[in-house]
Amino acid sequence: MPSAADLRGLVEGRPWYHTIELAPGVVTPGMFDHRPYVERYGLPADLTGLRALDVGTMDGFWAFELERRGARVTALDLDRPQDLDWPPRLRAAGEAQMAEGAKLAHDKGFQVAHRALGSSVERRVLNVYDATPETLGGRFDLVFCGTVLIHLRDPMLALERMAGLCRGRLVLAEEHARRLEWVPRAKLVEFRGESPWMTWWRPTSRAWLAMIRTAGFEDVRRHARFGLRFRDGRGAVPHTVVHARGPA
Amino acid sequence: MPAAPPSVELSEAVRANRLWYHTIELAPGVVTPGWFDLRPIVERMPWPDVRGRRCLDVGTYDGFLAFELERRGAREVVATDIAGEEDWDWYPELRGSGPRVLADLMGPEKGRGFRIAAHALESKVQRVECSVYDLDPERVGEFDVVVCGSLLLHLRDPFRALEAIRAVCRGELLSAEEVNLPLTVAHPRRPVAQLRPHELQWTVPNVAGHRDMLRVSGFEVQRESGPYAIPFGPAHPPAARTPRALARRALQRARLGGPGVPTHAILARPRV
Repeated sequence: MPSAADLRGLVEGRPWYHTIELAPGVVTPGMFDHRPYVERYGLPADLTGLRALDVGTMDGFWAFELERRGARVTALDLDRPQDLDWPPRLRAAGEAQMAEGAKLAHDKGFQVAHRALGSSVERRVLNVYDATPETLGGRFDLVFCGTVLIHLRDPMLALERMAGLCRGRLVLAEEHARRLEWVPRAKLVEFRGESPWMTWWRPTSRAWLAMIRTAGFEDVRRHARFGLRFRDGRGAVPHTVVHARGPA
Repeated sequence: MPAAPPSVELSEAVRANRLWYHTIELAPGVVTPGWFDLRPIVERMPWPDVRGRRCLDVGTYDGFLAFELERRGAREVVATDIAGEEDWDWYPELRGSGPRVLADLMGPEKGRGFRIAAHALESKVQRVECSVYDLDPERVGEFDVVVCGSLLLHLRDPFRALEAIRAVCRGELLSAEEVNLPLTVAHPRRPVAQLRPHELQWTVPNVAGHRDMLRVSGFEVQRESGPYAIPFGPAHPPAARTPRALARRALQRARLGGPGVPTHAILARPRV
C-alpha cells in the first residue's frame, strides 16, 4: 500500500468524480461528495455474504461502500469513449476530447482507490447492455445503479438487463426532471440530447418508477428525493432514490 | 357463369383481411375500413418534391404513405415493415404472449393488407421486411426521400432508429409523429415526452420534443406542419369517455378542429 505522501501524489492532477477518503487525511476531490448523503440511499447495513453489483462504478465510491457493508462486489464500467452512447453529431468531437483529456480514464482513479483501500471489488469492463447472468457468473442479491441511465440512449434496455441480474433488491438513484415533477399522474421525461453532460433523458420520479416497473421489477417505490450538491457548492442535482425487488 | 366483376372480388378480399390499419381507396367505391384515415390530412404534411426520386417508407403497414409517394411521382418506392409481431419492442412481461395476441387481432399473415392494396392499385412499391433499426445502405441502398409516419412512438430506442434512417437518407426525411397536445401547449420550447410503455407506445413527445429528436439524431428542420389530427377510421375502437379523456378532446377540438391522433410533421435534412 502506498505511503500517504505517495497517495497524495496519485490523487493530484487527475479528474475525480467521487469524493473518497483513501487514508486518514487523503480525500479525493470529486465532482460530487456523496458521503453526507449515504444514509438517504437506504442501503442495507449488513450485506455480509451477499453478492452485489455496482453499475457504472466510475471511481468506485458505491462499490467500496457496498464492500464495506460486507458484500462481494462486482463493479461495471467502460474504458473506451467510443463505447458511450454519443449523439451522432457529438461523437467524433467527444471521442477525441475524451481520449485526449483521458476523462474516461476513471479506471485509473478506481485503481488508485482500490489499491489504497486494499479493496477486493472486481471491476469488469462491460457495457450494461451486455450484462447478463452468463457474462457475470450469475445473479446478484443487490444491484446498485447511480446516475447512469440518464446518460444512456436506451435506458429501458439497461433496466431490463439489471432486472435479469437481480435476484434480490435494486437500489437506484438518478437525476429527475425538477420542472416537471409537479405534473400529476403523467409519466414525463425531458430530452436532453446534446447537452454538455451527455444526458439523453431526464424523467420525473414518477416516470422512473414506471420505467423500472416496465423492466420487470416488483414492489417499486420511491425511497427518497433530495438535492445532491456539487462538492464545490455551485448548485445541486435533483435526485430520486428508488427501491425495488428483482423479478420473481 | 360470368366472372365476378373485379370490384366484387376486391371487396371480398378487403372484407377477408382481419384488420386494416390504413383507410385506402382501392377502386371507385372500394375503401378499406382502416383504423386511421390519412386522406383528409395528407396535404397538411410538408411533402418535398418526390418526382423522379428514390423513396423509402419506413414502417409502411398497409402502405398508405408508400402509395402516396408513388402517386406523387417517385421513381422508385421501397416500403419496409417488420417481419412478424415478435419484432415489436415488447417489454419483458408481454414478450412471451404479446405477439400471439397481436397476431389474433391483426391477422396471421403480416403484410396481407399491403399486398391486397398494392395489387388493386397496380403499384410497383417494393415491400421489404426490415426493422427500422436494421436500415443500412448495404442492405437497402440510399434514398432521396425517406418518409416515416407514426413509428417512433412505438420504439424503445427511437434515437437509434433515427440514426439508422439517417444512414440511408441522402436527401430529405419527412417525419410525421403523434405529439402530446397538452405538453405542446404547456411547453412550447422545452423538449418533453410522455411515457406510455403499457400501450406499446414508449414515448410520445411534444412538438419541441419531435424537433429535438430529429436534431439530436443529425437532421435539421426545413419546414413543418402545425399539429393536425389524423381522423380515426371506422375500424378504430371508440375512445374512452373518462373526464380526463373528455377534457383532452375538448382541448383538441379547440386546437386541431376535431378528434383523431394529434400529429406533427417535419421535413428535415441531414446536417453535416
